[in-house]
Amino acid sequence: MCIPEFFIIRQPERMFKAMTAIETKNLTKTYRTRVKAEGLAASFRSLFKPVWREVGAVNGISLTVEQGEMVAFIGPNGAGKSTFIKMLCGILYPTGGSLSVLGLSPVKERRKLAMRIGTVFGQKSQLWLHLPAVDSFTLLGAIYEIDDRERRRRVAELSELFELGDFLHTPVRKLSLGQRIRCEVAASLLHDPELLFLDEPTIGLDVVVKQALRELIIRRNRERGTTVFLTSHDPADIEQLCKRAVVIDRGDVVLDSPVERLKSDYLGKKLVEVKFASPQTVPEMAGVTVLTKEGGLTAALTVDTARRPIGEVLERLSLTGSVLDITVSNPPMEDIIAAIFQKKPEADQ
Amino acid sequence: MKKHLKIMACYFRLNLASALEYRSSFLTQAFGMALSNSSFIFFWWIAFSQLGGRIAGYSFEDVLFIWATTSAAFGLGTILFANASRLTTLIVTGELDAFLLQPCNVLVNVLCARTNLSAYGDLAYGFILMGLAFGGNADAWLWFLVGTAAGCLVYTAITLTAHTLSFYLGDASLIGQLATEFSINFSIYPEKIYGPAVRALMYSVLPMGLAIHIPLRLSREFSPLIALAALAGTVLYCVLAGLFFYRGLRRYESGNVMVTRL
Amino acid sequence: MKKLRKYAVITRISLQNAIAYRAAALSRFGFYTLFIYIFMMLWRAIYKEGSVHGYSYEQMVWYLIFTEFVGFSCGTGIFNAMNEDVKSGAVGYLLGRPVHYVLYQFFNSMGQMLLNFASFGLLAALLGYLFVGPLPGFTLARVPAVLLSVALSLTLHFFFLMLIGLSSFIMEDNTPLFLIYQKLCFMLGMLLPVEFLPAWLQPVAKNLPFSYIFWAPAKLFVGGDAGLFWTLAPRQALWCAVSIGLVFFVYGRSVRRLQVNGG
Repeated sequence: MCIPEFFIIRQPERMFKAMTAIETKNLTKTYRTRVKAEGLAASFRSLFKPVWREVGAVNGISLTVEQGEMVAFIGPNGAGKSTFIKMLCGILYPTGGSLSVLGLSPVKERRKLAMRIGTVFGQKSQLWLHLPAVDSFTLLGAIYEIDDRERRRRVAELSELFELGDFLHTPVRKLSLGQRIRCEVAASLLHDPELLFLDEPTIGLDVVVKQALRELIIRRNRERGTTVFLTSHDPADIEQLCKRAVVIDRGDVVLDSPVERLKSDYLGKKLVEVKFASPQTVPEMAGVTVLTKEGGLTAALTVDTARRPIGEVLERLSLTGSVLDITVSNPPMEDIIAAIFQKKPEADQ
Repeated sequence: MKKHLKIMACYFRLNLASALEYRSSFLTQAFGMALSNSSFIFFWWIAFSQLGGRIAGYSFEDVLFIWATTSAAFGLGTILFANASRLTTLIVTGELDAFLLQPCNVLVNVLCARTNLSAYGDLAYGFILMGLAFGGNADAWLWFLVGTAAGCLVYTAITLTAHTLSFYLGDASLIGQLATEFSINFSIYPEKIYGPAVRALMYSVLPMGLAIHIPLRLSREFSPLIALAALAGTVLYCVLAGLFFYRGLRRYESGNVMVTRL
Repeated sequence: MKKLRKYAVITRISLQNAIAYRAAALSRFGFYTLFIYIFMMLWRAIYKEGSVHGYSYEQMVWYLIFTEFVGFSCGTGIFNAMNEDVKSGAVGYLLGRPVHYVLYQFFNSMGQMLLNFASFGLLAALLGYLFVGPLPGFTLARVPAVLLSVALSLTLHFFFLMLIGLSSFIMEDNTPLFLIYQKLCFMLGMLLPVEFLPAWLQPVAKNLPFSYIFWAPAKLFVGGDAGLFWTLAPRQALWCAVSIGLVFFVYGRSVRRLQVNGG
């Protein structure tokens, strides 16, 4: 692992800590859920004599993440992603297996651990809606034991970095979504966490804010060596932020590979939709698959950017002379995951 | 300890500042609460003026004392620890996560995070009623303040315990509401109107008796033994409530509870 | 005829809707029982012997069971519903419908009210028998007069609640108004019969509408003779007419203003 020099000087204590940020062995979590049948009579019965069933949410995950790594944690909804992360944070008690985060046990040393980790959970806010963000920072200062002078210094630093400026003093409810998210992330970084959990951090944000947020996270990783553990449904988040991707399904790891490889195999695909003025046939190109019928007014194609740069495709399309509109997008995460599962046997080897 | 006092103070300040963002709503709610309470005092005034003397061993003054103490205790309890009655929601929706992610005592963090606007009316009402009924009677004021502090703790502990059941039962909001309702009703009527079984409840499972009726008794006739026993009981109950909460926390499912329909 | 059918359907649907909220209903039963239990205990402590102002202990408990029964039958949901509708601007949207908004609300609540009336009636009778035994001197001959009086009470109460709900057209926060109304009802008949009030307050109470919501039907129930019905019921009817008239008047004015100024 490479650590910038100034980082070593500023944060010497971190050098002597264990180099492993996250280590789990055979970690499991099962929930007891109430089984309820349809109908009034059944509802009534279950009120007095509920029937319970054990459901495994995490079924023996063993995973090691080194400090300074940026790892993407991917899986379909209900795969056990949040359960796993919540166990790492000390929110949930594991049912079995062992885990250690920054050398601490989340179960026994929750408070100690909480001092050193930060979280951004996309849809949840830790700011007070009716008060300016700076007030929330004061509270966080008390909670994270940061003295007033140090807090002011850090708020100023974050304010500069995130360009918070004036709206630090505006009631949060009056901020735009983008401004709010920046305050939100600044709040998560106030105590200078060594390990950052990001759960859908860019959900619902526009492209510009998304990009700004990603850059901030990358900078934090580069300058402070902050370990980042990310879940996202946005392939661009994963592509731009992470070097390593862990895919889980039904509570178990199904793939652990460098993002580079994932990119060439699955993430490198782009979806292109074209609208023509007159019926057209898309010219044949290697690395391009046409999904629609020939000779229509619209066409959809997937482009394997590893084999053919997207620019070339757009150029060829515009040569037809009747293009009205073109949209280029990433294939949705669900499709990528589906593709991973289809190819799984070879990817595993 | 010092850190947590600082956090509590910080929450109190922010809550108040938040409330003052909506000043008129804050005032009407506080005023409404005081008005509500007055109608009960009207009832007692009629009852005593028509029937005179004592009701179940309590004089009109005694009733005013328990009313003032209860009102102030509930007011203080919900000004400082309003989140106790929202605990079920926090558990069921997984909002508790946010508190567990922070490096401080979960109970302090959760309970203090919210306030209730109308509670300021309750607290003020208690003091106004005391002033009107007892003037400068220092003895009465002393026991009123003791009862207010103890009642605030016991009420919060009761609410906490009832809602902690949500860790086990899934949704205990109804039990929580009932516990609150019982606690209030155990506090604002002379204890002797209840049968022995209910009175046993008042000093065990829902020990509002310790915080409201004992101070009244002590103000009439001080007994160090009773005072000490009540104090010990109050502390014990609060500690047990805290322990019960931490036990329940191990079962926290963080909003991942799914009901499987078959 | 068609018009009537329309309102019958609204009533039926709201009835079905009401049944769906079983848990909430169960908790209301719990609160009702708790309240009655406490006041029974209280009256037992207060009554040493005989009767006060013509009410014996049993009559007093039945009185409270009855007033609370009327209160729980009506509920106060309409106040919140109207508030919501006015604040969210749904009133404007409902204007476009081929039913009158006020009538719509009334019949929409009717289903819930009928259900409450039946279920709380059963519970009330059960609790009364269980706690203090049958009401002394009660005969079935009293039922028609009592039912009619309750119907007037519920209408009166409902339209007053609507009126307060409509006040959100002009008031930012009308909760204090609601609380004042609620507590006046509380003090002038719900908790205590008007006969218990100080001598100077009794004539005042009898000339205000509030006592006719709870005191009038409960008084007829626990000890009314036929003659009393003919003094109380016309006053109830009069106040009913006033409240209904006021609701339509205020609604009409507010809506016209809404149509002129926009929502």
